[in-house]
Amino acid sequence: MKKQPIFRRADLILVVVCAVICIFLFWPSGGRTPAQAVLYCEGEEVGRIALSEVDSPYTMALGDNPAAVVQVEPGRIRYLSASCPDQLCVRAGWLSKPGDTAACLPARTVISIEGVRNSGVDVQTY
Amino acid sequence: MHRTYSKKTLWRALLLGALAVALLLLIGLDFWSGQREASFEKSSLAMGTVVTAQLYGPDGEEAAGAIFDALQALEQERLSWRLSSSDIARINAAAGGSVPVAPQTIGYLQQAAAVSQKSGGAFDCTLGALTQLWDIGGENARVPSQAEIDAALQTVGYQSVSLQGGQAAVAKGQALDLGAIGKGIACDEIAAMLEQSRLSGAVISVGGSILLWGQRPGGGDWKIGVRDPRGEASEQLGSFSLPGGYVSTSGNYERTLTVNGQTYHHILDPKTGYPADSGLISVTVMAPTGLLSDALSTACFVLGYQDSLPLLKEFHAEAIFVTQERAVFVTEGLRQSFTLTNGDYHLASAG
Repeated sequence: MKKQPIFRRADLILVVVCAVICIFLFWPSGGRTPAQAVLYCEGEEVGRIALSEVDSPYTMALGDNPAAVVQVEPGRIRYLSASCPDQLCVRAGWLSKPGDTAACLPARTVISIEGVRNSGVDVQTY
Repeated sequence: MHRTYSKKTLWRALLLGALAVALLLLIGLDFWSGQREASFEKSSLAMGTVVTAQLYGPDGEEAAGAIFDALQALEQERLSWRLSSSDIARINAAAGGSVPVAPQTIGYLQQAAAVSQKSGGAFDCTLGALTQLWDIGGENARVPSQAEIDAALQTVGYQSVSLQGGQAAVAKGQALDLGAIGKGIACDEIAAMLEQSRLSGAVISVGGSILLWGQRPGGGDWKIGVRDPRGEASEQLGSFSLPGGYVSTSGNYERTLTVNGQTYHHILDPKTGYPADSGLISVTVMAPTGLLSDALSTACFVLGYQDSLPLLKEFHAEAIFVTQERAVFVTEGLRQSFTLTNGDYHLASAG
């Protein structure tokens, strides 16, 4: 009499389907939005940068009245310079974690890091 | 009739059952971690500051739109002293006489007066003439002369504000400035809106004044980081947990003016007319309402650690004080949940 295997072909198909579901759910870029720097001007979103995908540093302009220069590096972003009088945006420094935010009030621009809070806190008071 | 299963069939059933349970657990874990992600998040400028809304649950985008519209209306119709359409600007323009204002504005001013009275005037919303004189953080920031400061101080005094029959009035020459409580009022207004929404939880930051509302995704208390007063904006001093409520911080780092090497911050002492110098560099307050947390953080910053304790007790509030010597004092209600994470500071007790 032919010996029956413990798992039949249908069982193996089920295992493969389960494995595919798991890979889909847990693959790092599958379904989960990675932390992104979101750039706003006059209340409108004007750009999104996936900081983990930045390979080499670059700068870009944000807003025009007064103008600001934004510096982007792998994993972080900041206002590099601005022609506003108080320089609060520049003094905010590097932003890298979800929840980090800097703004230039005179130019009405905001940079905010959005995504799942992994830093241990839900929000920061200041 | 008994049906018997072979050992192999039982093994198969057991293994497949274990596989199904493992898959369900993984899906459950994924769902839980997915709940940690805000269903909608938006940052924008409103009321002259950065507002960030993290909204959990259905209809997040609609709720965010309604929140930002409400903040704009709050500024334009009630709180701004710069926009002539607001209640506060109309009261200031009519100084010496009374004007009809919204019942909500009367309510804000009554609550502000209560904190002014209990703090012995350390918090005072009639500082308008003085804050406009210094204009720290504004385009015309400067160090005024002593004569100018003395003249502006003559106009300060919450006792002169009259609220009767839906009308509000300030004394001639006096000017209201609700800048010290505007962000907290915004948190209160947003909380009332959230009660009408389908959201399950929300974290709102109005320029660093925080509203924690509803259920935290994933369960447990909300975790709040406190900014390092001497570090960059994203650096932390420590953190604490709350099931919900309102948190505000007043610090000497946010808006400053430097002249001849001396730095002046924006929290003015109503007694001296100069930036408050109580030995503190930051105070974080948790209170039953946003207006209270904002008003009390300002009052405590002006009063200093010891003199703030009775005031906090009066309003059922808790606080974290940071001194110039980098000592951190935490009141009893927050002591258990507060964790100091920054090695440049040390925890201290009242002694």
